[in-house]
Formats: sequence, structure tokens, C-alpha cells
Amino acid sequence: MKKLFYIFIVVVLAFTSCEKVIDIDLNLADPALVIEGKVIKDSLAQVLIQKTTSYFSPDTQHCVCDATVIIQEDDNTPDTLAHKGNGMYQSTSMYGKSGSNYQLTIIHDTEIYEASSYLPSEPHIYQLTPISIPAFGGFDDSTGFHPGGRMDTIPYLIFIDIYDNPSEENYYLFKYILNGEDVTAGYATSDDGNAENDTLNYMRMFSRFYLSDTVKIKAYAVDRGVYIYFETLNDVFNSNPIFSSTPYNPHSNISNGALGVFSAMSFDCDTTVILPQVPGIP
Amino acid sequence: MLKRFFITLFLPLTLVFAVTNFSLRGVITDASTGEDLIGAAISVDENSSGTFTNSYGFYSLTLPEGDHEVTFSFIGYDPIKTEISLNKNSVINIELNSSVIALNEVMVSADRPDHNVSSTQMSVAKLDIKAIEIMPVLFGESDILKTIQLLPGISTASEGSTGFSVRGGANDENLILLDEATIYSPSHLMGFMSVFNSDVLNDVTVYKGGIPSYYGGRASSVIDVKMNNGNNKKFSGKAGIGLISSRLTLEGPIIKDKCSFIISGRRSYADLILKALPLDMITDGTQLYFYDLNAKLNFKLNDNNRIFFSGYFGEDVFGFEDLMGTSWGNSTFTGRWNHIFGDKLFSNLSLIYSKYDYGFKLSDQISMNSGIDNYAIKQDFTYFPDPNNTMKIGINAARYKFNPGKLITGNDSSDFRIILDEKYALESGVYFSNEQEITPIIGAEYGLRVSMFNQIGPGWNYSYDDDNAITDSTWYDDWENIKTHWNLEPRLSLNYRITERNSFKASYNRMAQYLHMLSNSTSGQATDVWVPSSTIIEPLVVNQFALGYFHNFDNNNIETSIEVYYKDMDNVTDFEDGTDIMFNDKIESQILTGIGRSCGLELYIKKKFGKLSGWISYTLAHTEHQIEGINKDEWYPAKYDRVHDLSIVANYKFSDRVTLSGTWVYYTGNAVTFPSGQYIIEGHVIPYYTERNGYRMPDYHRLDLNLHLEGKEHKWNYTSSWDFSIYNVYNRYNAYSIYFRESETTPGDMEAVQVALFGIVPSITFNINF
Repeated sequence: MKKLFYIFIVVVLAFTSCEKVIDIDLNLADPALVIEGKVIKDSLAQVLIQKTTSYFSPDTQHCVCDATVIIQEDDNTPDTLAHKGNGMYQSTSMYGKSGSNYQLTIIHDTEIYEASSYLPSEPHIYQLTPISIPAFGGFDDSTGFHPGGRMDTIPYLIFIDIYDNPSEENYYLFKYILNGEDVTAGYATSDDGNAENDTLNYMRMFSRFYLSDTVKIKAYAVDRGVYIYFETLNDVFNSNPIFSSTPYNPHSNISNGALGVFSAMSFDCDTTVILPQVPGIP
Repeated sequence: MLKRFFITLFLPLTLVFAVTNFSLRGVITDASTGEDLIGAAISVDENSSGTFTNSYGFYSLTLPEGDHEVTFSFIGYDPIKTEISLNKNSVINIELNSSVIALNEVMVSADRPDHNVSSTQMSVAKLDIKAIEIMPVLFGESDILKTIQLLPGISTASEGSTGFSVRGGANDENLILLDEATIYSPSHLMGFMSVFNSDVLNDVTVYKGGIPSYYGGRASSVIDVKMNNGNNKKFSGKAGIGLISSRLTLEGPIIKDKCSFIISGRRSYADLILKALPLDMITDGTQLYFYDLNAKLNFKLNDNNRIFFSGYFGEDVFGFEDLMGTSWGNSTFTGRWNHIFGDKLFSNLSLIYSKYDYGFKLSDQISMNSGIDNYAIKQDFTYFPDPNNTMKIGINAARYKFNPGKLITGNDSSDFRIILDEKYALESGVYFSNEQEITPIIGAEYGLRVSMFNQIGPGWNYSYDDDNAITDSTWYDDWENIKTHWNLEPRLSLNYRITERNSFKASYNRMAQYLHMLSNSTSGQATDVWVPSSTIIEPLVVNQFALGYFHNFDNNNIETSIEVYYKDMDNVTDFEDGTDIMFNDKIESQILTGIGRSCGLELYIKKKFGKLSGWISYTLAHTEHQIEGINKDEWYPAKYDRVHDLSIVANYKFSDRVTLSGTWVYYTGNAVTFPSGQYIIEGHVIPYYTERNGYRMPDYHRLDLNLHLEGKEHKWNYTSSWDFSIYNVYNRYNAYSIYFRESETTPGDMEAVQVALFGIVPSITFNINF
């Protein structure tokens, strides 16, 4: 959406601006720990630990293999995860459970990093509805701007209806897989702005798909800390050097200056094929 | 001690009643057009006393009975020396003739040959509109906001932009006035051109320090722009054709010497040119232009009463067919009544309206708008008790309406919409100042402004918790007070004249700012939104101390100055990480405030007359902020912090008709945040930032040239001129922004990409005066 407001600037600048690759000296920051911990419902808990590397020429050897990784579910006995190689630590027995709190503790180089995450109950995708937006026709990320918009460039949004648990605060992380390609093509997050006793939610996914695309939507229910991380991560992805706020690190839910996120989540997925339909926002 | 101080201060006031005194007053105007000359000098008996005309060309002096020699002078005009025998209160209205050497003047001119040394004011520049027209600028459009960026202490926000930072202040800390009305967004074409059409301007004064108590409301600077009144002698006009836009100005008397008008229009025609080009993206339905309309009427009812009405309306429009359209612009209206009570009291009453709005429409499905407007009333008095004192006192009030943004999709009420609450505020001020010659070598201007700001209803007021969730809300009715802010703003300027050639000056000013512009960019964008100080946002308060040494050489032909300043700032604002500025109803809760400081050294040398004229200005400065929640709560450079800034302006006059002008600017890069490492999350490279604004953009330098050819007077009584200008002569691609991407040649590695906006840009402008 924001992008649209700036398209006209781009048009103006397109006539004169020029780009070139330049050399810049960047400081080499002291490596910081990057932690991606996941406790997904009905899956084994796992944690990937790496370090930050030089910005321009990233080191390929940046995994952390000698950390102690412990996850505790509620008040149960803590489980120490085993290192499986390349910085990946996995539990042998701990499966994610809805309604549980997970506490992550990592000890590395005498430093302790901690995080906790709540695993919300499973969402249920009730319906996926593709909606064409002819007015956005022609605004194409890859090829630039075509006023008037041809049929094959008319983008679609997908509206997602979800049943969720009215007794919880609901936050979602969405991913989509486009045309069977096993790539996570983007994030969109949304908090539940509706009344707490409303079980049907009307979510919008503000991304673009085109006619005859097959889109698989994964909706993850997450807690607030995880939502904030992905919301800020999303912002970092979409940042633009001219119009965005000063760049920053996504807001992690892990202590002691570690990067990354520890997320407990449950999810549902559904697939839709985009077919021709009447334009307009319903 | 204090008692003695007051006796010294007011002694001259009481002494004047000891002898018989009479007043001398009048108006100084241009002989050919009848325009008021603002800041013209009146000196009596070889500078033993004197004064300057005010914003309306009015002066008043009190002199002892007897014979006096009075000189009326203004730069670019032939002075008039006259003998008077004063035995009653007298009125002398003077018309000065424009001198033939006018174009020899440098565009930043003073009012009296030694004004920069003798005046109490420091950190002030007055631009000569006539000479700005021969300055080389982008697209050949002469522009006062570009010219002031060549002065010391004023730095350009970004390439080609009219946005600027004054002594470490942000772009929104500059008070830009057009006939007393605030211009909220002084730019066209995304900031590349200013809204000021030089053809209608009479006077431009820039205050960056020692700001008189007469002005208030912004923390860093005042750009006071005044429009011409219109020629009251004869009908005349001006027209210009340039690459970007064309202009036409008409002016003339309605009743000779009593009533005159000026009207001026300017329109760009990028869309017309684009349509002529074989580009399939540009269709007949494409709109891409801006326009300005200035108009002013003045009535001289009699010697004691004048009325002025002036207005400005301008807009940028951009659209494609019916699919998409956006427009933004300012409009202002000022009505004024000058009245002279007796011989020594000048009064001005102004009614002012100004407005900025922004609109966007996408088909019939999405529309949005935002803006600000205000109504204001001002009453100012200037009292001339004796030649050594000029007192000003005044009161003003303004009501603001803020529209932070509305976004509506679809056509009926069931659709998605975001409507941010409108906000209202009342700003008021009372001020007093006196400009006093304490001794023949010490001058002072001291004053106090009391400013008050009330956020008022109608509207909701919210409280937020640490997670930015609303914890409480209260409804306020029309005009009901939500929050009061007020500040005492003392102002002081001192001048110690060592000799006629050199002087020391010092100044202090405290400024409070109650309006805040929410912006992610340094230069200002059309979508920027203004918000008032509130229960959550505290007003920005800045204290500035400045010292200066001024020295003139070669019979005032060469002026030099050294100024240093220190500023401390309270309640500078920034945003929480990732704050979305548009359509964010919780934005107040995401604003972070802290403190700031700035210091700087400014060197200036100017040659005013001769074949070669021009100036060199250099600024060394540092500005930093400390805001809780940013950069681990440690000090960090402001994004407009610039260490070195050098401008060289030179004009060489080959003959009366041919002038070559050049400007060269060099500055070190602004502070910017770059990553110091990276990591990968789910296959995406994520930059790792360790410090805010810890890096610098590359150095910037650029040479521009302009060749001005003045035509001969044509037999049909018009003159014409050509300007051939080249922007960025040696075609240097200066960095506008830098972004990072995965290397195309070495996959897996990252590379930095510099975006440059303009290479070499030649342009031609044709002007005609009739």
C-alpha cells in the first residue's frame, strides 16, 4: 500500500536517476548470537544457533555448535536439546502442545540467553477468498509501472477467514507458498482487532497474486512477542532507503542482546486457485 | 547593580524630554514602482543617529529642534541627501531611484554599506531578489530557498531539495512566512522547487540566531518572505519561459499612487512535454504539473492608513487517467491594516489564514487525505520614542486544525476505513522588544515573548501504556482545554562596535515550538503530517547562544564574519523502531523524546562590488541527540548532522549585459545507519545494526554555472534576458541514497548501491519585462 504513494516519485526520478555499485567500509561488528527456536504444535522442538558475520562477504562457518540449549515446558522437567550438526539443536521427546508455556535457556561462552513463548490453540482457516483489484492493475513489482493495467497484471488479494480461540489474544503469522514452489514467499502479520467473543475473523492478506496462481496459505497462531518480532522483521524486509524510518534490528523476544526469535506456534493451512471473478472489494 | 543597569537602559528615554524634540516620519518607496523599501536606512547628521524602515517602508525618528542633514539610502538605489529645518512634527515621504549598478550587487545584501558591522542583529541575511535571478540553479528556476542554502549555517537536506536544516535544527523547525502566513510545505515537485515565485517577492530575510521576540513558533529559524505590493506608478509585467515552468506577472495602479495590484501565475508543463515524447506509459489522461498563483491588492487610504490583501494558492497535481490522482498544496490569505497613531506609533493588524492539504485517490475505491489549517489574528505596535529606541509590542492568536489522515476504501459505509481523529489547538503569544542604542558604540535588542499553546476539543484524548495500548480515553467538547503548554522566551542581541569597521556581537534566544512534523525523510515529503503538542508530546524548546566578530575591508566592499553558536534542545523527537507514520492512530504513543545539542563555527567572506563579486561560506558543525530507547540511550549524530559545508558563489560581470555566475558546493555526508554485520533468518539475509547514524554518506560536491545575457531595451518598451545554466557541470553522480543488495557477480555476497538523482542538467530560461 505504502509503495503506491511513492510510485509517482519513482516515475519522476526514473528519468534522471542512476545507480552504481560503490565501495563502502563497514565496521565488523562483534559477532552476536542469532537464535531461531521453534516449538510447533505436534512437532519436535528445535533451535538453530548461528552468529552474525561480516556484512559484505558472509562467512559460511557461522554456526554455534557448543551451546547448551534447554527448553522447559510449563513446570515440567527441563529438556536439554542435542546438537544435530550445523548449529541445529533438537529435542528427542518434546512436542509442542497448545496452551503450554515454553521457556528457552541457552548457555554459550558463559553468557545466558533466555526467552519464553506461549503456544496458542490451533487456528482454523474457514475460507480463502481471492479478490481482484483492477485499480492496482499495472503496479507490478518486477516490471514497473503500466497505467491502465492489462488483464494479466491485475493483482489479487486473498482474504482469509479464520476461527480462533475467543479466550486468547490472537496474533497471526502468515506465510504463503506460490504454485507449489517450496519457497516461503513472504510474511504478513495481523493482530486480532475484533471483539474477544467473536470467533469468526476477517483477515486481509495484502499481497499480490495473479490469475491461475495456486496459493497455499499457512496461518500460524503466535503470541504477542513472536508477533512483534515478525512484524518488525517484515518491516525490515520492506524497508526502502529513501522513505523508510531509520533501519533497525527486528525486536527479538530473547534476552541479552541475542538476535532472532523463540516462537511457539500452531498452524493451519489451506490452498486456493485464483479464478476469474467479478472485480471489487466485497 | 540592577538599579544602575535600568538607569543606563532607560536614561536615554528620559533625557529626550529635556530639550524640544520633533518627530520626522514617512514612507520610503521605489520611485519607478512605488514598492515599499523594507529596511532602507535613514541616517541623520553623518550617522549620529538613524533608523531603518519597517516591513511597510515606514520610518519614524525623533530629533531635536533645528537643522539636520538626513540621508535616505537603500542598497541598489541612489541615496538622497536632504537638509531639513525641524521646527514641527514633519512627514517626509521619499522615493528612491534604482541605481544603474544594481546588478553588480551580490544577492545577499545588507541595507546600509556597513550594516553587517553596525547593526545589532547577527546571524541574519537579507536576500536581494533581483540578483537571485542570475544564480545558477537546477532546471533554471531561480529559487530563494536554494540560495539561502549557500549561506553559512544553513545546509541543504538532500540533493536538489528545498528542505534545509539551520544550525542543527530539523526541517520542520524553520518558520517560513509569506506575508505573515505560514507556509507548511514550501516545495513543489517532491521538494525540488520552492513555492516562491521570485517575480513577486519584495523582501526575504533569514534569521538563524538572535531571533527577535516578534517571531515565535519554530525552534531554529525564520524565513520571512514579503510579496510586492504592485507597481502604483504604471502598468507593467514580467514573463519567463523555462524548461520546467513558465511565469507571468502583471501589476499596476488601480488609482495612481493610491491603490495597486499585482497578480502572478506560474505553471509547470512536464506533462505536456512527456505527452509529446513517444512513451507508452504517458497517455492523454496523464497529469503531472504544479502551479502557483500570487495576488496582492493595496489601498493607501491616506498618509495614516493603508490596507493590504494578499493571497497565495499553489498545488502539485499528479494523475493517470481516472485510475489514480494525487495533489497537494498550500493556500494562504493575509489581510492587513496599517495605521499610524500620531507620529511615533505604528500599528499593524493582520488577519491570516493558511492551509496545507494532501489528497490521494485510486480509482473510486481508495481515497485519502491529510492536512493542517489555521486562522490567526495579530496586532503589532512599533513605537519610536526617540532615535535611540525602537520598541515593539504585540499580541497574536491562532487556531489550528490538524487532519492527521483519512483513508477510505470502497463506496459505502461497510468498507474498510481509517479516520484518524482531527485535532485542534490554540496558539497565542505576547511579546515586547526594544532596539536600543545604549551608547554610541553599544547597541542592544532585548525582548521577551510569552507563548502559550492549548490543545483543545473537540476530540478524544488518550492515555497509553508501555505497549502502546490505550488505557484511558476522555472526550472534550468544542474549545474545551485538553492541555496547556507555555514558555517564556527571552531574546537578546548585543553589538559592541570597536571601530566603524569592526564589531563584536553576541546573542541569546530561547524558542519554543508546539507543532511537530512527522516525517521519515530529512527533506520533507508531501505526505508528511503535522501534529500539535499534546498531553503526550511536549513542546520542543531550544536555547541558542551565539558570538560573532564582524570586520569590513576596502570601504565596506569586503565583509567578513566569524560566528560560533551553541544550542541545547529539549524534547527533540524521534520514533520507535518501525513506526508507520501514515494512518497510525497511535503515533503519539510511538514518539520518543530526548535532548539534543549542536555547536558550530561559521566563516563568511563576501565581496559586494566590482566586476567580480560573490562570497565564500564555510560551516563546521556537530549536532547530536540523546533519546531514551534509541542507540542504547547513548548520544548519536542527528540525521542532518553535517561536519563540513562549503559554498563558493562568484559572479563575473563581463559587461553591463553579460554576467557569468558560478556556485560550487562541497559538503561531507549526512549521518546514516548502515549494517555492521548480517545473518540469515529463513533464507533471508537480515542486516545487523549496531549503532544509530554511525556512518556517513559519501562527500558531495557540485559546480553550477549560469550565463546571463541582458537584452537591449526594445523599441516597444520592453527588455528581455536569457539565462543559460548548467547544473552539475562536471556530471558527478553524487549519492542521494545508498542501499544494499545481493551481488550480481558474486552470489552470496552483498554489495552497496549508490543512487544518484541528477547528472548534468542544462537549461534555458527566457525572461521579459514590460
